[in-house]
Amino acid sequence: MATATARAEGGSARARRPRFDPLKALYLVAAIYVVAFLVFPLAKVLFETAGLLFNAERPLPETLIPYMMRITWNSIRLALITTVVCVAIALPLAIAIAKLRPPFRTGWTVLLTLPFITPPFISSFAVIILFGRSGVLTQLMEMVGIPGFPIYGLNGLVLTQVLHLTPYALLLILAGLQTVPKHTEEAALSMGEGFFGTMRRIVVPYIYPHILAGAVLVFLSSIGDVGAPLLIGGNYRVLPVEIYSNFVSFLGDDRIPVIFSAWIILITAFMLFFVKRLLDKTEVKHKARTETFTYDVPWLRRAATVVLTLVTAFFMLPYVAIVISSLGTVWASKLLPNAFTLANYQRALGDTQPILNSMFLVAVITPLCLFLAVMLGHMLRAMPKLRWFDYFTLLPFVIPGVVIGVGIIRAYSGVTLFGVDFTASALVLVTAVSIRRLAQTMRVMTAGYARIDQSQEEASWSLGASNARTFTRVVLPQMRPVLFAGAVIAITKVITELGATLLVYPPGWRTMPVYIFFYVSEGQIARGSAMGVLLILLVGVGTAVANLISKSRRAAT
Amino acid sequence: MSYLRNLGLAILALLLLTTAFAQNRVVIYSTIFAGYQDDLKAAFEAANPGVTVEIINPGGTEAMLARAVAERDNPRSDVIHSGGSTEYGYAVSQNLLRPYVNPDAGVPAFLDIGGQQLPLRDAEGHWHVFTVMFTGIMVNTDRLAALGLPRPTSYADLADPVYRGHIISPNPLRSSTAVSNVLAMYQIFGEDMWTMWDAIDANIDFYIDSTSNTYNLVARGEVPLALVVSRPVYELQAQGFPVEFIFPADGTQVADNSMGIVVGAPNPELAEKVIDFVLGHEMQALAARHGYTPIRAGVVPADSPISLETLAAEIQVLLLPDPELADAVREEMQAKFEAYLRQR
Repeated sequence: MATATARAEGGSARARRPRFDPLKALYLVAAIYVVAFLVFPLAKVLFETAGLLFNAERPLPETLIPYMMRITWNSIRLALITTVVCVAIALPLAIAIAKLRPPFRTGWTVLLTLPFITPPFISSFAVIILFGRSGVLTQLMEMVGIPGFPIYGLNGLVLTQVLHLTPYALLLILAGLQTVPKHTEEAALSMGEGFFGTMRRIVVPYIYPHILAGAVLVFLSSIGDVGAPLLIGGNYRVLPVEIYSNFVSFLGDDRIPVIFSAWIILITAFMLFFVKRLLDKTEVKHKARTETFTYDVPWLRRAATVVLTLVTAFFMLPYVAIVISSLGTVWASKLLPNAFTLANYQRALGDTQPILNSMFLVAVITPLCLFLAVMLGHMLRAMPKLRWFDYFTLLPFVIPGVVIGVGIIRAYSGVTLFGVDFTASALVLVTAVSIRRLAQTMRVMTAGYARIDQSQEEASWSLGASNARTFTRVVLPQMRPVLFAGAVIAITKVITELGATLLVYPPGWRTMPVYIFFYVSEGQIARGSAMGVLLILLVGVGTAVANLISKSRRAAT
Repeated sequence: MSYLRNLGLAILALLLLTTAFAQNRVVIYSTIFAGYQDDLKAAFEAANPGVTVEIINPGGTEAMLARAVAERDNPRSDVIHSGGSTEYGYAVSQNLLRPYVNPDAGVPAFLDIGGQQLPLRDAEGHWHVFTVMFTGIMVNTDRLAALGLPRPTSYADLADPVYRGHIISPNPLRSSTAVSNVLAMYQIFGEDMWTMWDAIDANIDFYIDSTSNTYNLVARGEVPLALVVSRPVYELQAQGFPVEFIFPADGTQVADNSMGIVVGAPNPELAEKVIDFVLGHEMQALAARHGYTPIRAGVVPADSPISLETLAAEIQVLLLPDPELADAVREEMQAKFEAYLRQR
């Protein structure tokens, strides 16, 4: 206990740590993992690109760079429009839910966040079923004389992404509304401001960072989306599709995916500086979580309820379409499928392998992501000099899964690990998906750490506890609810992962989203829909049960 | 740190899982669709108890061959499966394929389609054709009628401005399906096809990067016409979608589907069994259920839309694949379609 005594006697506790700190060893393990499976593969892609660009023997086609700039602008324009629309919808909805006390408050939030657990791709197909040229709603609209809405191109992409991404903005804005100090609103009211004035002058400016953070999340998800543009992009071409489809190309230039991947890495790395600042800002505000001030204005509450009902109904349409499709036989050019059947569910349930694979991945990757996020989050907190490392952990947020998959395959093809061929075993899937989903888990952890006052650790050290002991006895117990939230995020994000999985999944490791992707794209939409409904149920029930457990635990303590 | 221990155990279990039973495992790289993969796996495993079939789709024939080339020193697959014989010719030139001929298989060296002789394997048996399909036009008859459009009967018809905005095509830079249609037109019209394609390009609503979704969009009636190959059309038709396949009167090209054994396959005996099995009666019948024309006689009744008999009656001009032409025009096609796509 010599070191502990020395520490207790004074001087800077931080400066005198014991020689071997098990925590540091764990930091190192986590950091090596990130460097090996994220930084190195991406750096390799960038490096290879430099070689391709300056190869005099094989000059690039002259049209390539202008074309790349055009589709880059397409990607950015789509993301900007989607973001503006999502925020414009999410902000009033969040205010209505949080401030006006409408009936079924939790109900609205749960329904509106359903897209979080929806497998990607299938919701894009739902848009075709509903709004396509032979879509159900298009037919209904044409019956009353309203012309259809052209979905193949920018319009359809915005529609699909808004239906899918609004929850990101909604949840962040809702979280922001919980941080607005009650007294500021009371003061505004007492000075004669009305509801709208208070919202505009006090509340919205206060949650500005949350709104921006939500907008950034929507923007990045939109820019990385492959599923919707692949299906309904029409002639509107965007970067991720260009990368994905050049991998499976026939006549394509083999250099294009590498060059475009590198380009997207550069753009997103640049955007990260901006994103990181915003995220840091919101974390500080999270500290002050107060009771939410609500307003009792009956006519506004009624109006809010009507708007919530209509908007929620609109957002539920794709799910209604998926459920109907999963219960039907052939569904083409008609308002309903030709006949109804349970056969799709029998087949989907009969295909146990993808279900078991997905469950297995969740069971392995969730603890892995939590371990990495807990260690790296703590490392960033304890060693401010290493803050720059946070940029790496944020990278998967902004880089499309396809690019992560490509990087790992290119870097580790042919490598054997413990006698197992890395890219031919489930290891490649575990690493790719864990890296892809680390960013989301990491956000939850850093937000959690930010809420713990540093002085608690200092007190623990001054009482003679080691770093490791302080971590396990003081910090970790307070992180329990955060660990839980991180686990829920990790589970939902791991089970719906498609982009990286599609590129790396080894023999026998088809997951539920891959199954859905293949069957839907092969025309067996009903069968894919049935698996999609099973996936939504599985995650929905899982998170609901988890929520109940955490609530009863919280009640018990 | 109990989760650390659990993690360690989980990874250990994973390693054991992946290495166990490796002896009785046959790995097939195949770009064929999931439905056929499931059938092949289930049927082969039922016929060979104790054997596990792993089928992996590397995402396209070229990607599959590139992967096999990359793994040449340490092959991880036993069989590569699906893709045109032209592409398997390339695999032979890369020494990827091991010759194998089973004299008892009962498969002839050539298939007679309406008097034309399609080779079913190369002289040494490096590759084997296991099914055939054809290039042509998919039509949604309901949608075509609703739009009041005439039914096209040839590639040349598609250049008619009445079809403006009513045709889609997979992206020829990405899709072998699209390329086989372009090559068919090249065989028919030569260099003149580019003037015709200028008109067809003006009619094409959009090129889609997902070949399989081309069929989906026509089946759902989003567009009435698409340039495709026959197999998925027959499958969707059998499911009840209002779709038909049109053999262009100016010519349809055979799109054959081939497979071969990988040199240095980890499990060569099972690889040979897979080849025999895919060419055998049971798997041919399963393939026919997905709309493939079997290469064996007697697998489907003569009046089936996919039987060799029906095809011989329906097809007016049959074109065999021409690997030399494909090689010769490859760069020209790439440049042309890059231009077509980038000016959209």
